[in-house]
Amino acid sequence: MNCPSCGSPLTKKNKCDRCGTNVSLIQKSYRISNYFYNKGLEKAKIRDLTGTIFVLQKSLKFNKENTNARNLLGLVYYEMGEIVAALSEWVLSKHFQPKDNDADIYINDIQANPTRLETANQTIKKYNAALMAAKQGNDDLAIIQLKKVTNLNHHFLRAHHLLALLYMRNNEKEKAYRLLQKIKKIDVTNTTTLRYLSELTETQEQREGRDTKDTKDTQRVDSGNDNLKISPVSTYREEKPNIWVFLNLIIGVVIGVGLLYFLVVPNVKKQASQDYNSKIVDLNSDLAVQTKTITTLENDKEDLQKQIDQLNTDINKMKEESKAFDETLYDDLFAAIKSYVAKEGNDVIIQKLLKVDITKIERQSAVDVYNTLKDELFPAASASIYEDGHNKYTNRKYEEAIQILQTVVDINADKVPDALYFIGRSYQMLSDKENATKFYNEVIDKYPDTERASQAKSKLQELQ
Amino acid sequence: MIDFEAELEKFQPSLEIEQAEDAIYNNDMTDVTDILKEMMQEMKNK
Repeated sequence: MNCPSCGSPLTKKNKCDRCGTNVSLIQKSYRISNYFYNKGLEKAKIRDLTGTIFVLQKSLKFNKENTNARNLLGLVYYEMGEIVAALSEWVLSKHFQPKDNDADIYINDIQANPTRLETANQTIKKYNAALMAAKQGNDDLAIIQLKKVTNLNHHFLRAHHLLALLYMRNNEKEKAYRLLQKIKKIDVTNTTTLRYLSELTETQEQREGRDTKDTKDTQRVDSGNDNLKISPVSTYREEKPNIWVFLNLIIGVVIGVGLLYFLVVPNVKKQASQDYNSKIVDLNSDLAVQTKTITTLENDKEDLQKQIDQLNTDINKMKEESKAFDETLYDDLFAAIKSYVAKEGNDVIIQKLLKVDITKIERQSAVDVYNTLKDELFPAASASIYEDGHNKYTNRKYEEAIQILQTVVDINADKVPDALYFIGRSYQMLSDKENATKFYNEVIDKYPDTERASQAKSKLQELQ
Repeated sequence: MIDFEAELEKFQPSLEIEQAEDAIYNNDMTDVTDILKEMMQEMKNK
């Protein structure tokens, strides 16, 4: 303990060693405070919460810094559902003793669970709303709210008292009685609880007394100067549970379930069936649309396949045509032109030109070049070639003669009838009657007015 | 018999959490020790 004047530590003496203040009265005050605290603790242990509050408040009146008393007061408030009052006491306790204070544990416990704190706050708000409704005469609303409050916080004595009072006002004494009995276990000496219980008990006794009067003869006994009505003293008894109530409840539930099964369930099933049928119709229509789409796509696919086949056929045809195209067709013509430019001699040029198959050449410019070379070279060359072939024939070289004379025929110059005739002769000399007859007939058919035609006719006769 | 209306008037609204701070500040903290100190101080001054 410190001196209240200077704050220095005190010894067992009544005076402060430092400032000389007489602290005996203050020490006495502290002792009284501790005494009340101890009384409060004893009362709290037997759940005399109202008594505890009374003595602890006295304790704090003597020493406001008695943190033990303040912490215990907070705990008692908390037990009675007065969370704000409890927090206030613990906060003050913490203010007076910042270190080694149990209030820390209590405050932290509440702060550690914000949900519980919020629920407690909601409970208080509901209680206030119910109180306002009760004061305005809305007992039903107030009772509903208070039922919620008491369910949320079973220790909120004030709410229980208010609910019990409203029950009593609405003549629901049984409920009020049960409620008060319940909270009596929390605070055994709560004056409000006891007062209400007393009221209920008195009312019960009066009712029972009236009943007795109606059914039995009233016994009146003279007792001194007063006429007292003697009625049997009865204690309150809770009604025993009536089995018929439960039986009726079970029968009601069975009938309810039966009705549900026979009336509601078929309708639900029917509704579900209709829903399913409707879904099936929708799905069928969707299916028809899909089928139609598939058919259309298949037709399109067939058309496209036909087009692909046609195009493939065209491609193959073109490939075949390209294969048939002789790329070397122009080579002979180019070779002849090359020889012409290089002036390699007319025989060479003519031999190369003769290799060109002009019937297969389609480009007109190439045909023009070929004709130009042919017109320039063939007339002059055909005579010498013919002489060469004829010499071969004369020298009995018939096969060579046939080859050379065929060149003259190919050139298609003036000496063609002569060349054809001697080709025929060469075949005749080679005993190839068939070819000989062929060439003789060609001379006769193509050049009928020539001398070679007459000679060919005579030779044909020889062959026959 | 309980007078319900009078009884109902005894019930006061409960303090909400938000009002806790005000409740703490408005608390009358004067105790016997404070009175004794004041008295001793007055005696000293005389």
